[in-house]
Amino acid sequence: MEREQVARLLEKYWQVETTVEEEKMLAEYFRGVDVPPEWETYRDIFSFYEQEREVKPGEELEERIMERVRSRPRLRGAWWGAAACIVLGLGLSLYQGEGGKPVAYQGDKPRAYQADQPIAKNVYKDTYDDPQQALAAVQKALLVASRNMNKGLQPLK
Amino acid sequence: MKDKLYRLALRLLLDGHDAEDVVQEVMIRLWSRREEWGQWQNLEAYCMTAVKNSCLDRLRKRQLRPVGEERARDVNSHDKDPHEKMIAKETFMQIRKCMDELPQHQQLVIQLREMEGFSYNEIAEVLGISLDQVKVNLFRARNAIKKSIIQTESSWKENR
Repeated sequence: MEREQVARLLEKYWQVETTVEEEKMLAEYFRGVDVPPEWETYRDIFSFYEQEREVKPGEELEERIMERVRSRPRLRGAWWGAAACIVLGLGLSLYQGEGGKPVAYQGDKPRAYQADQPIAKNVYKDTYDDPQQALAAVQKALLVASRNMNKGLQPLK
Repeated sequence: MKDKLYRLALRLLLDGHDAEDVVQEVMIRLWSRREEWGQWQNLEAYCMTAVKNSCLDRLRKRQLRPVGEERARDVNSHDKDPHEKMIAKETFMQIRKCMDELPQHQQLVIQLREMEGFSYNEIAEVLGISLDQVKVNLFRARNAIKKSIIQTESSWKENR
């Protein structure tokens, strides 16, 4: 860049009339070696800004931020999972509770169960007539459930 | 971008660790609102504003608790390599001192313009001031630094 051009830009610079581009040209000029002594001071100022531009945060900052950013959604997913389990569990137990209730409270008064009376239609109906058979079925169901649960927990161990 | 945010925070807080904290805070907040990024005109200016506000909050809190002595500029040691530190001129120290003593808006305008190359409009947006105020602040700051350096350099010459 010509000396006159630099002088003109400098004048504009001190009047706050330079564009960002023109200021970049000035910075580039003062990075050079052949700066006349009367502009030494300006070179100092421009190289000070240059040096300040090199100031950076520690390397670990980015890692720290990325770690926080990455761990968040996963954590949130786990919480949603836990919440869903609780809701599902509550729903199931309520549903089963509803089904089991009406036996004793038919009609206005609670009445005791009597073996010789015919049982109302909407009353809980047993799947099995033989208690032994029922017990075996329940045991089998629980066994399947526990086996699957163990299978599911395996990778976590 | 995080380097620019860090430098702005450092200019205001003069403390490397606090500056990193602020940058981390702002970046994480930014990430949590990533669905909104498209609506923002200028992400960088938005972040710079967030950093500025967060720093001003911290400065206010600092003022509330009594601090015995002025905080020394605590920049992380990895900012400059030892060789660069050795040749850091006395003039640089003088410029830094002069900058530290400028009114806050002038410091910020210098930081955003000279170090980060922001346009007047962007500076006005980040600082929440008018274009004219940006120019007035920049004019005063540039000339204050120039005057201070010319004065110290001429006094050195006289002493020799």
